[in-house]
Amino acid sequence: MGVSMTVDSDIGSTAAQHAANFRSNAYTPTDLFEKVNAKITSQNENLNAFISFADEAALSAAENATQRIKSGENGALIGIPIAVKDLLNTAGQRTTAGSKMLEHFMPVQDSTVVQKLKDAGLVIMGKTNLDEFAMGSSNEYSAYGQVHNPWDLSRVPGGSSGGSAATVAARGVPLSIGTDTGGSIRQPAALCGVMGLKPTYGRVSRFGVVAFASSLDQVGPFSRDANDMADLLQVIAGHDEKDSTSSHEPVPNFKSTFDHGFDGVKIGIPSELLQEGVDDTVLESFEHAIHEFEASGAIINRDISIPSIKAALPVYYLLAPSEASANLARYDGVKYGFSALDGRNAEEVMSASRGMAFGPEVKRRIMIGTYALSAGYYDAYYLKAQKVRTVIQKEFNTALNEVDTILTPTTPTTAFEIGSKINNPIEMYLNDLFTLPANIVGLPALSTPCGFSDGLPIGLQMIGKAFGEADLIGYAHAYQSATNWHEFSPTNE
Amino acid sequence: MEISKEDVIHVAALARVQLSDAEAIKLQEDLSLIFGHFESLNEVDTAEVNPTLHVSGEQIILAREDLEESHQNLRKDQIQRPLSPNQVLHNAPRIEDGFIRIKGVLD
Repeated sequence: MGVSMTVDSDIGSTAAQHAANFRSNAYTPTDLFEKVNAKITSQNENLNAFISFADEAALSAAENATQRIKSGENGALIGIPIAVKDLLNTAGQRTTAGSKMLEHFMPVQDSTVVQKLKDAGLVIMGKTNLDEFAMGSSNEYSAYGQVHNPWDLSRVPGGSSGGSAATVAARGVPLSIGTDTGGSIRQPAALCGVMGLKPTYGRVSRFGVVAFASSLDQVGPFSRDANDMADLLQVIAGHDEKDSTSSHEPVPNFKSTFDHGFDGVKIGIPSELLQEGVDDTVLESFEHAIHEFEASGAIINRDISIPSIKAALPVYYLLAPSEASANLARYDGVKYGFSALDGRNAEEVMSASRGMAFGPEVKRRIMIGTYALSAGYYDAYYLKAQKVRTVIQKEFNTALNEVDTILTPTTPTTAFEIGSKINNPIEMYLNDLFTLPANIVGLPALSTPCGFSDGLPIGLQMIGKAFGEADLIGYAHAYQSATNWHEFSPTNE
Repeated sequence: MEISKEDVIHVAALARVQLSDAEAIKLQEDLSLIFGHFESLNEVDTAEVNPTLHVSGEQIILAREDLEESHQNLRKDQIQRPLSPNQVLHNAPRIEDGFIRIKGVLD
């Protein structure tokens, strides 16, 4: 906490603290831009959280924000620095998707989310590192090098939005944007000790976001506390005529729940999911959190059942690669992206381009998806998975008729060593066990810090009802008012 | 579940992904293992279940005159300014005289 309130002492503040300091004239968005730019550039030597940094346009945005503050504008996030996952198109700034395929790709339009950030006065400090095309849980599959966990540089930050989580954890920027197809916001948030939210499918526009699995992908915020998260979600949520799957559901005030507390809130624990494969220390922190809620008046129900939840893993690893294999067909070495250029004919150029520019996990998933969708296998795999998806969704709906939110640990373990799971895809996939179901059924879910084990953060996941983000952020706000797990920062700041 | 190397080569050809020999061998192992795990889906009874078509059950409503604008998922059918040819070609690997140049489609 900066008592003196200077840009040097307060550089690692939350967005709300920066906003207050702007208004008390302690420093301007332009001052902050210079300092944050220097800090994240220097941190990148250890963390590798960014693929590219702010350009001239970002400096202009900061100067413009300084004028807006000076003229008395009230927007909560005017002049606040933010990092954006390098999966969202930024006009005139390279967007790589973490792949060699898009190494030189220069979008001509902003994604809707980026446009909204700019309109709200946020200053985009850079594009964050990720697993190639958002496929991975450890950030080991980026073509631009591994992101390191700021709590222990020998460990993974999680993935795929590892860079977005790591820079917020290291207090480089107070806010960032990620995407979550099977846990890619919540899992790195948990492993890096920050907050992350996957909104309800359709809550946020996907226009201009490099597509991975279109029925599962959703853009969402990272922050250090519930207050900042509410402000950021407020900016990016809402229907977009450029994305016909974005919802017309009205956007509420995401802080309207902040005085609700836990009294009478019904919390469900799917006990069957916690029986095996979860670290004792993770379970211990999870139980502590449950006691905290109980002490604050929540009603705990340990008997809710989602009998088919274990099928979520195979369902996900069929549906996501199937959709990915179709989405990634567009990278043909012709219109944009990497091209091998040489070959006897167009088809050879296409195969060579894809063979040379896609990394191992992307190839693996394209192969899984193509095989699952190929003649003779469609009914046995893809169609079966879509039916099981319906079953899981019905079970979730039944459970959420009895309780207000479902709690699980966000991940079965804390951050693992770089290289320890890279050779075993199944073990890597198991890391997403708790996060995948929310994508499969389209429900909102967030992760908030709930403890530490050997100096590594542990995350608590709350799954909510469709379009119930305000409730989830309200629960997190109440939890953060009663605990201080979200206030710790790593030494590798 | 056993997936053969020929299967892998066939699927790679369908997906237009050139693989090295080492990659094909590794993918044969991985896919056999991964598709083996998919067998567990058969434990869920889906005899009377419809497949999920859209996760929120929301209909994609096309522009229709009898519906309020706020419920339509497609924008109004109005002419908008398209991207310029320069913007469209900006990222193409090889262009010539305002066209994208590619290798022959037929041998």
